[in-house]
Amino acid sequence: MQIYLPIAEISVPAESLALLGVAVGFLSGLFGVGGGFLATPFLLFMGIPPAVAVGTQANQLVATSVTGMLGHWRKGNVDMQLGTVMMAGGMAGSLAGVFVFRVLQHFGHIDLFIATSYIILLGTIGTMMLIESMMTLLKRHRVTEDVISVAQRPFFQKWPYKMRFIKSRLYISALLPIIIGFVGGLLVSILGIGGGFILIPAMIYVLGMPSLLVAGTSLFQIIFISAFSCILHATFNHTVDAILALILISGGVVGAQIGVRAARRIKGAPARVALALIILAVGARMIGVLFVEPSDLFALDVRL
Amino acid sequence: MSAELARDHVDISTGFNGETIALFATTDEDNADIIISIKGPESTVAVRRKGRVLGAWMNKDTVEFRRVPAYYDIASTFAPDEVFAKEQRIGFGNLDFYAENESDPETVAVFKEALIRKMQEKGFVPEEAKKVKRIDAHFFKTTFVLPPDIPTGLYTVDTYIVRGDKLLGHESRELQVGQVGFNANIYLTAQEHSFFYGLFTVFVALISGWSAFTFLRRD
Repeated sequence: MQIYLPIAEISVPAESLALLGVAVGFLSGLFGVGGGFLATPFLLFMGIPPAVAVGTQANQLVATSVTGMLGHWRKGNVDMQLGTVMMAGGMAGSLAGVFVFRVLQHFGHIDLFIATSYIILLGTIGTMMLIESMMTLLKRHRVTEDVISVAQRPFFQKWPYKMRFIKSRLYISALLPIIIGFVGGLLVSILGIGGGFILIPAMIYVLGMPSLLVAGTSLFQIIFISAFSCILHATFNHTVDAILALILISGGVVGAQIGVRAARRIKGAPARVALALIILAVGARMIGVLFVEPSDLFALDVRL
Repeated sequence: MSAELARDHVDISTGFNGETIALFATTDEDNADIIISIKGPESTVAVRRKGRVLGAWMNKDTVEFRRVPAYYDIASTFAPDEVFAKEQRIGFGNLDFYAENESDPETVAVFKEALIRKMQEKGFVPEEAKKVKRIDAHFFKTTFVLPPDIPTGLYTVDTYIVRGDKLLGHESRELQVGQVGFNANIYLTAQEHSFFYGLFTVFVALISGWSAFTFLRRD
């Protein structure tokens, strides 16, 4: 059944959209990742303009993050104090990201920028995940050293605006979570992804947060920065498609439930190998798009 | 002569999947031929050509064309003489759109040819003219098939009565293509009350997320 998307102004098969929502929700329920990194490329493949894909994704991210965060919050695993500080940086990053997106779009380089960023992100994350999960799978004994987080290093301990973050038991400069939040906000606005899989390692290795608090806190601040990004995209770029968002969220909710239930039956390590391979496959496809001579050198960009 | 559209508006609603538009024309002239064209709203189109930069393919050169109709189709009872067609601006290639930021005519020609080709691929410009149906010697009918992803806006349907290379008559009609109903409300709200629209979508997302957690979780 074809459905006409009022903001994207194209007609797409509703079933494909619903299926995409379910798939993204499934990944989010199973692995706890936002799934935005898969959704955005697929929306682009379907012919939805990049601006609408990114703007609408921000909206879907709000819904997904709320669901996930509530789960963690009920168990007391959210550091709202630290999350709020990160969010301050995130708002600024979100704002900057929306305008950077507009500039890139105006000069016709948005496709290249998105493709390159995705390749770098997916390649790095996919490879790291693959290594980690394969080693777990092969039961190699990993020597875990005491990694000193970046925030604890002497240079960063001298940074101003230090705050006590009670729940995470940290005494670090507030500038660090603000910067991390800023980068997260940029990613949401420009690429339409949650940034969770960048934020989570950053929170562990740069800030030194206890890993139990990381997922919930990251989701907490993603709610606000993606809500903020969504409002910005809607207000300045008019690129949030309510119908598209509705279909994706509906599919996502169903998929997330299936994913959460599946998570109980599927073992962690092989599942993470699969996810790592999916991530790398998407990244590889983007490399293909970038480095293989396109079948048509010309493309149209309709302005007003 | 006279020319009239069977309907002067195309309503795009949720299940829109393309539309056919019929136009009827009559003329008093004997042995006359007829050309009917439909032209969409004009906009600026940037044609970008990829080139290799450090091994990667990216957009390198751009030529911007102004006043490019978003859609074009043409039907006729005969193949008009080229000179005549150019004069009357008949045929997509003969329309008034022009290149803005590029002066080298060879480059413009290359990019213009790419523009036409890409629009043909999208189905927004025809590869050749369709046939007009002659109901009788003075009465004609043609049907235009508008694709599902047709651009919205004000379209112009032009009817030309021709004999040989002489123009005997010309009528112009307007066709409004737009979203209606629910879809239109969404689109208009997004444009005119964008901040509240954004706020509302976030609100819906928050509620959805909360409901999903509250009603669907398993402890």
